[in-house]
Amino acid sequence: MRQIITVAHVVWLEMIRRKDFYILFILLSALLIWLMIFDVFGLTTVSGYIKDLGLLAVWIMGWILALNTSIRQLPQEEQRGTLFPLLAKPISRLNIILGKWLGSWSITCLALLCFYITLWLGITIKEGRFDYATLCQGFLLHCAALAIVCAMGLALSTRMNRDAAATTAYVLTGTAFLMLPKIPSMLIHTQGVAGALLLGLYYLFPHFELFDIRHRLVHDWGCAPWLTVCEILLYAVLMTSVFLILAWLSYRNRRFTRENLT
Amino acid sequence: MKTLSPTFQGLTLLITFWIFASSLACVLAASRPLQGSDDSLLDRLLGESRKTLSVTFYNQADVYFHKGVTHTQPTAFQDTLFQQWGNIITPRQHVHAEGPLSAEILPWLKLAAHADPHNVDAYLVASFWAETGLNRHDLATGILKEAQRLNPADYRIALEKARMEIRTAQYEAAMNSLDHASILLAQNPLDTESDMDKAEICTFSGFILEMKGLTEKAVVNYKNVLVIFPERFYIKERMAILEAGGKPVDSAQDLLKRLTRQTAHDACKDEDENHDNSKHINHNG
Repeated sequence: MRQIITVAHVVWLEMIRRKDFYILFILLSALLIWLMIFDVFGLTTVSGYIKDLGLLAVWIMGWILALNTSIRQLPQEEQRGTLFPLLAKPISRLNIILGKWLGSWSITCLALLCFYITLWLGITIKEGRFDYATLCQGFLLHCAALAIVCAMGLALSTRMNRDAAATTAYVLTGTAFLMLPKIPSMLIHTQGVAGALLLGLYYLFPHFELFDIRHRLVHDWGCAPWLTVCEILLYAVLMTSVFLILAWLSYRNRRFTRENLT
Repeated sequence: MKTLSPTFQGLTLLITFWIFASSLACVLAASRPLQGSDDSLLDRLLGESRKTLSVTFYNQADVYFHKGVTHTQPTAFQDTLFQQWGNIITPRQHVHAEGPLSAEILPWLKLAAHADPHNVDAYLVASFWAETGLNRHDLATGILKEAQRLNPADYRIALEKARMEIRTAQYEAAMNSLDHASILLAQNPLDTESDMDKAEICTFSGFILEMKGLTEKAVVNYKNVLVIFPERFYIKERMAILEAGGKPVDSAQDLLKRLTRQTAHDACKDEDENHDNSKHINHNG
């Protein structure tokens, strides 16, 4: 466990040094300020649209941050050559994978917390309010979704270079989020091989839409039943484990040469 | 600090340009009146994407009216674990926003109008909501004025203004607005709905003229309605009674009130909506 935390610590330090989070934070703040000063026919008390668009921005930014952070970890170590001293230490490849995932996920969650606080602040200034229990639930589920995203990004980066892994991960996660909920409807008109393929995708890919309770937050529907939330969190643990195991299987016997150094 | 990765740089630039472009588009669109022509530089640059964006915002207003509950689609199967979780996580009731919650619909209509100032429907629905949902006559009037400034040739704005004036019993002003709408309609008929609207203008005008005692002019208007919709028997009957010098059972004023009293909830009932109607609730917020 100590080894995992040491690897994760390096990821945190790297994240603090990089500009990614700061830029996303500035973009979110700019968007919120624009939304707050947007004149809605002179009405000053409406805040639903700020919640809606703000949460959408937070989801997009969390997604970008999670993928960028997790995907660059292994290829970067390889490119810089820092992987060799790391592998020379008494640390298993499984621990490297787990440490990289923990570091990427935890720092993304921390950044996400900052985004949520900024959004809450904007809504409070606009005299709106969030149901705090639902907000905590939303944050928890959001973090769980990002755990899968980080694991997926890491798994892809074990066998691909950074750009290829990033492109593949963006396409896969984006498609999973937007397309999977529509597959049951699409299957009405799709049969044969295409139908079987869609059905396969439906069961294999992670269902990110289950982690999205923005509508509950925006339209004041209140908390989702905690039992269901716990089941979905378990599903997140399962999916994260699957991707981490895949990452480990792909990485454990991989050979590295110094010729690939840039 | 280290340099950003190329992917991240690209995404950051994309988001920055997108925010900048949308802001610029909205500011430019609202800062000067577009006279209904599609030859402006802005229209040429953004083209249909601007209209698509506007329609997206407009549809979002409908989602807000139903408190975030979207229309359900038929599915090939319904009992997978993911669907069961989804049904619990996502509310499915057919609910309407009422009272103060109605105000939350307006930003989306404003955004729709901002993205495409020629989206007259966005203005009309916004003024309707301000009038009937929020009871803000001043706000509704302001919205229609802005719509008219940006779309001076569109008869629907004058017609909506007339409806609003009828609701507030300003019949003289309503008659002027109906005349204005009638002139604009003759000059710029739309492909769809024009006949329906023309019939509505004639019907409203007929009722107002009847109230003023100008029965002959009212009958002329009713005849115009029958030219468009010959199957409207209640107009036929009313016309026959008036021509025979009689007095119809329903007064013109009552009929006008009834015709313009429609709320958003009535409009929703008319639609074939795929919500779970077993739990139809109105939320006051």
